[in-house]
Amino acid sequence: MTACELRGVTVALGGVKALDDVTLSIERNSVVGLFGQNGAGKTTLIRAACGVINRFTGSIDPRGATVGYLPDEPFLFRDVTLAKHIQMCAQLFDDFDAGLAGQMIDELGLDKDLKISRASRGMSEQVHLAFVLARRCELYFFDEPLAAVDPLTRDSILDMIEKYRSPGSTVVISTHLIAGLEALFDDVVVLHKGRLLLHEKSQVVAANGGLEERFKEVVHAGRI
Amino acid sequence: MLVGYEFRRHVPVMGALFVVLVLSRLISSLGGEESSLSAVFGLAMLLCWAMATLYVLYDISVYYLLGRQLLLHISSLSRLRVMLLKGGVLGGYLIVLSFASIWLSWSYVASPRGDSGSLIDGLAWAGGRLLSIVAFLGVALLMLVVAKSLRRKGPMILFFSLSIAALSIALGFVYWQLGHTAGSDFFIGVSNAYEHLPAYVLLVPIYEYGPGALVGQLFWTSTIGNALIVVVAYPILFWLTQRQRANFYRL
Repeated sequence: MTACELRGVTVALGGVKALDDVTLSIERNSVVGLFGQNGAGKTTLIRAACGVINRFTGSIDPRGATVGYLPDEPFLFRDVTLAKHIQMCAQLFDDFDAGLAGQMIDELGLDKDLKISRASRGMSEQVHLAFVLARRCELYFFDEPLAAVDPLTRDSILDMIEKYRSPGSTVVISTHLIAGLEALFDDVVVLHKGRLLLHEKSQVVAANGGLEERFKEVVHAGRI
Repeated sequence: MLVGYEFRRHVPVMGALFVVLVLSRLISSLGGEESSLSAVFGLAMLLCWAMATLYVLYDISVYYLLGRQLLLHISSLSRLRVMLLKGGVLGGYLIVLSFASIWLSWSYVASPRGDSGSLIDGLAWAGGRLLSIVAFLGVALLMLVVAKSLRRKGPMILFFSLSIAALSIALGFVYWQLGHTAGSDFFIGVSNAYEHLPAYVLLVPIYEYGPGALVGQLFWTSTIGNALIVVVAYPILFWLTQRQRANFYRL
């Protein structure tokens, strides 16, 4: 079963193709790793799939799924407390579970009167993630949730995704980090300069020398 | 909650403008209407309105053209509801500032004519001002939506700024041609030296003066013109907002 289907998606930015004829089928109830260097087109693909940019050619069909989106930059209001954010998000998102958001904030050990501007970077990442996971979505896109966080926070973020994503949902996580992430994903997708270079099962990737080797191999091949 | 947040966000700027208006009125009243201090209020009102107009244009353009307030962009709220939220709150502030201005400058209308004409004049002024605010927001949001159809940020911002400026000048010209009386002249702003109401070109007050300028024809021309803008601009705005294929988040 397909959770999201992209066909021939091309996004042009000022004459440069940020995405070039990308065709990709994302399986339902899978965790997909979206890899690529900076500027590979990961963020553009996610933004197009989430509908926040919609000037592209080709088609994107999320099969009627509700889509949760974690942008690659902070989206919560810096001057608003977590408690008020929970109330606000309940107004802003039809599928927002305020109780679950509160539970995750509690588990992070945070005071709900905390303003996001007072949280550390790692904590802020987790709070932002919690607000996206509190949406009961069938399809989640997380854009670089592991960037610029320490290994412990990284593990905590991955645990949160595993624990709190809606049952049966599909998760796409973009990252430019490679090492040590093989076991996390069911599928591996590699983008390079806007083109889709690889879409394989992670077991196949593992059998071909591991994620890091396979990534280098396809990226070097894609440069030719 | 959301309306409250949006409302509180503007308090520092709009609140400061409100305080400046009130303080300038107090200062100008110290010396009486004939004193040179009375000019302080007129000047403050002009500056406050210029600031308020620029602030509104800035706030809606950074949201729509630069993608600020990401939470609203990625929310499930329809673009139309976000537009109504932002336009409604800013419009509310402009209305509050307007009524404060009218109330504080009541004598500008009342004093030359005496008490008998002041209430009608005041109501007409308030109505005209209200229409000018609604028309201004409609035009500004419509131009933003049209600007969104351009692909790059630079041209978007340029188009939006120039279109608002060009529309203001064009409307001012049309209102003047249709509404002014022969031999009269105009200046931008409000004055207590004459006996009629200012015309509003979007939010910009235009005052007609001269021997034939007593009938307030320019005020009524601009008010009808602003009403027509409201009738035309909002349906187009709503229609475009629903069907536009544009990036609502910066790339």
